[in-house]
Amino acid sequence: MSDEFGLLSSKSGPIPLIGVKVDGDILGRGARVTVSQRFRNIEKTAVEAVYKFPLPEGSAICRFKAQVNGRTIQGQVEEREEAFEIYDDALTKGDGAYLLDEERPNIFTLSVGNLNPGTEAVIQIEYVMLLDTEGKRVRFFLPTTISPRYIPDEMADDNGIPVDEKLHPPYAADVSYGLFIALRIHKGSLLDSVESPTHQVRIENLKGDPINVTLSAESVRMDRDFILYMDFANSQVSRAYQYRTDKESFIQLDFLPEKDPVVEKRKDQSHGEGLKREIVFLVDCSGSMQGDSIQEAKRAVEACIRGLEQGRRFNVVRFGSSHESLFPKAEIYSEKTANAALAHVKNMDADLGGTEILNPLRKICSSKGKERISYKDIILLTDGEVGNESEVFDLIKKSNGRIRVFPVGIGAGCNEYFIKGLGRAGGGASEFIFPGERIEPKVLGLFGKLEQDMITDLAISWGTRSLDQAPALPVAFTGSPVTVFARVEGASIGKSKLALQGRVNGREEAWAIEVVDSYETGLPIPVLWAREKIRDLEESVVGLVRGSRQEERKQNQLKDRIIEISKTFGVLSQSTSYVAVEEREEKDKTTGEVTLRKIPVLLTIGWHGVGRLKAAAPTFAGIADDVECYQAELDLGSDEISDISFELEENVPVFDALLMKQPAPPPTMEKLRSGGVKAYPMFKKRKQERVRTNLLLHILNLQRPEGGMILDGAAAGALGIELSHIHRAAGRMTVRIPVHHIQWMPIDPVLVLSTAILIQILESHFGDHYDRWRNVVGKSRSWLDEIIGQFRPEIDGQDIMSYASSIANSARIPRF
Amino acid sequence: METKQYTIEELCELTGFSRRTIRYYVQEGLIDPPAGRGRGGFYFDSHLNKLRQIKALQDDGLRLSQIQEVLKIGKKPEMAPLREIWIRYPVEPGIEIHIQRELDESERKKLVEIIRVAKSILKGGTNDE
Repeated sequence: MSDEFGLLSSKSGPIPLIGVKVDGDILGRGARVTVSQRFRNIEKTAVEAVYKFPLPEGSAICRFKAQVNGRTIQGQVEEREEAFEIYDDALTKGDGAYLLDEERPNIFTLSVGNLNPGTEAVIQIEYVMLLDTEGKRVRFFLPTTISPRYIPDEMADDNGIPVDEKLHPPYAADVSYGLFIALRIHKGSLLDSVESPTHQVRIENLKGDPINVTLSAESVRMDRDFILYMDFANSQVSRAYQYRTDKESFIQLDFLPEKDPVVEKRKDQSHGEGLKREIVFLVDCSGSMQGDSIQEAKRAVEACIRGLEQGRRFNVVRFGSSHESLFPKAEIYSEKTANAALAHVKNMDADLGGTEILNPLRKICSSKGKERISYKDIILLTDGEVGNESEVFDLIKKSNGRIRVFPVGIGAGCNEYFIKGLGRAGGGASEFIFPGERIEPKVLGLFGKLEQDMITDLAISWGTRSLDQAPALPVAFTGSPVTVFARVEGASIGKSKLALQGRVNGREEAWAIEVVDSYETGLPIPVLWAREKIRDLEESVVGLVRGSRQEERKQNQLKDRIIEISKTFGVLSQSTSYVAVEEREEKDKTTGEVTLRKIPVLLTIGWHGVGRLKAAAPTFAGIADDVECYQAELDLGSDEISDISFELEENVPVFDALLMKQPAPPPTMEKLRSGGVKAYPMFKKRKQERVRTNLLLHILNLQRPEGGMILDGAAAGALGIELSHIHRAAGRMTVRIPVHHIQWMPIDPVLVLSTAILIQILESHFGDHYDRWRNVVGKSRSWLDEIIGQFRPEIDGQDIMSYASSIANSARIPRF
Repeated sequence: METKQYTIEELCELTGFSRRTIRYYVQEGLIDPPAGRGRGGFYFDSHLNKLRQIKALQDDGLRLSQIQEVLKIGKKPEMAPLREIWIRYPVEPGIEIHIQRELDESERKKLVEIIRVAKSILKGGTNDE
């Protein structure tokens, strides 16, 4: 293109982006975050900078402004194409203009137009969101780069522009800008610990208000997600928060339905519920999974397969450009099929090319099992790097609950929107595994969710006046938190309690939840309502039939509604954009040529096997009750964090040594106050808890496919049980062999005794981790009960369970 | 000579493309930049026709990458190209071989061979010289 025309396109040249800073305030689950991007034009001509960047898929973007030449220009929300016209008109006139488009709920395009030579512009994007919670843990998540998405050949262009163009920035091996993060966690006294599995962070003013968390480095590479875990002393409670205005009120309902102990008990005994649904492990073996990701996925599938119960139908499917099933039809879980599956998984590699996920899903959705079983749970392990998210969501939604999907996001920068959106569409739950994070607890947690009871026909009595609830049809499970928003006419709902009704396992249930005023959350509930409503509308667009007039009208109505909400509440959507115009005096107007500069970004580390990320040195801090407020910088080397790798192949964690290692003597208060302390009492507590968790996970890994658990040296050492004692006692075991079994001695006495002991240890000492061991213990118990029923094993005249309980009671369990 | 001028708004109106899309096509070289400096320039019938051609192909279900292929190789009879590009290979003064498309390596070698033989014939030699 000749430069006599004003529009130049160039991919190389100086990068006008200088740096990105993220400032955030966190209060409980709520986060308010400002992302600042600083641009400077060092060229001789004016530039138009276009920067594609990611944000969390749940973020409600509610402010956009540009600071340039000492002026602050506030942006406003307009319909997407109108916003572009405003931007384009301003550039034509030589003014400055700033545009923020939403391409996907987690991909944004910022255009900084007519940046004159030598000038600087700082763009500020503010968002609020509710953070993910899991029990007492709250997760702050910030993506930093956009991994290349796989776009299927048949995917249509979007308004004549290729999808590739909308989603992908140019990539570079290195860039001149970096990221800095500063977070303030308010009411720090409510926290037990703060840790980042992804970055080195500096944590100051522990237990204070606020706790300051900053990146240890001044500028980090934007090639991986940032994650911060905050562990609270107490779990979230069910509560409704009311935000009042003159004419209407907005309510945020945090609903945490408890598990029904009666149902749970029955389930543990019978396992009846779970047997109906077939489980399909769907493993992404596309090229982008090469390197760390496929290894993580394989370990996760292995952990799952070991945890399945006898009799469950299952299959393993891997996919890329093509897909292949382990078994032609789902097989019943047995030692034989489990071993076949484990061997199959061991040999998997990310060698199947593109990410054609629709085909295997279509096949799974349509095929029926051997006995007309058509209810299926899909556990999908993927980095989610596809561009056709909504087509995949549609496919799953059409199954109307017959197919549930539990996606597990793998990698340092997976597509969060795809993972979570698919979980929402498929009535399941999602999980994320960052490279180096332990897989087993996450997988076991997800397994627990498979067994949760869905609450159907959930109805909330907001009052009789007109209301707008989002999501309209909330998916709730017992034991998992769900948040529902409502916009209600009138200044208050005039109730101190909200009544909820629903069905669990066919039984009517009712709940009453306290209503409080919203200042407790610190977040603007109307904005959160608007975001949730927009998402609900955007994701409710199912199955567009090409050429259907009626469908088209419906689509347009939905779009109009989204635009209206988006503009009224100033919350960005895919149908709207933020635009800000900086009107300039005649002398400042851009007159010469304008060079287009697309900002290159880094590839996600580990993507397609590019680079490796083994456990980024994590930093974490514990907060104890017995220490005064102080400031300390924690820089813990890896030797301080006893992370034990549970490679299933090797499987030799040494607990003995771990427990034997004496904790460092508690430091004196003087030493604490002076800083520079490496270990201190509450850290010890935290570490003890880790040791305990490691032990639990190790025990769970001892389970064999049929259900028995064999005590190994490591576990015995950690529990203070002598293995030789177990072997001797097992040798004295007597059994009554029924006549028809006389030909074979079907049981291994050591296995029976170990199982009896380990079940009791888990039940009596790890009650707080019930969700993690429930399935494993349930399966072991059925196996053991069957043996006891048939063979009545005894040792020294005592029945096996009583004998085992005396050993279990004498076991040494790490406490905290 | 092209006389009729259109603004980008008129072009959007006449083709049904959004302004974003037209700007993108200019940026990608699918259509020529407007006449005059910068964004405020004018467009002509040639722009309009090209956009209509793209639109028609889109309505047939083609994606832009495919349309680019069609525009590059396909000649629609009703829209003869404004200029035809011929590559000239001089043989002798006054004699040239014209080729209308790009040649691959083997074709190019054959062509060179043809030129060599042609030269030798013209000089009065034989083709197995």
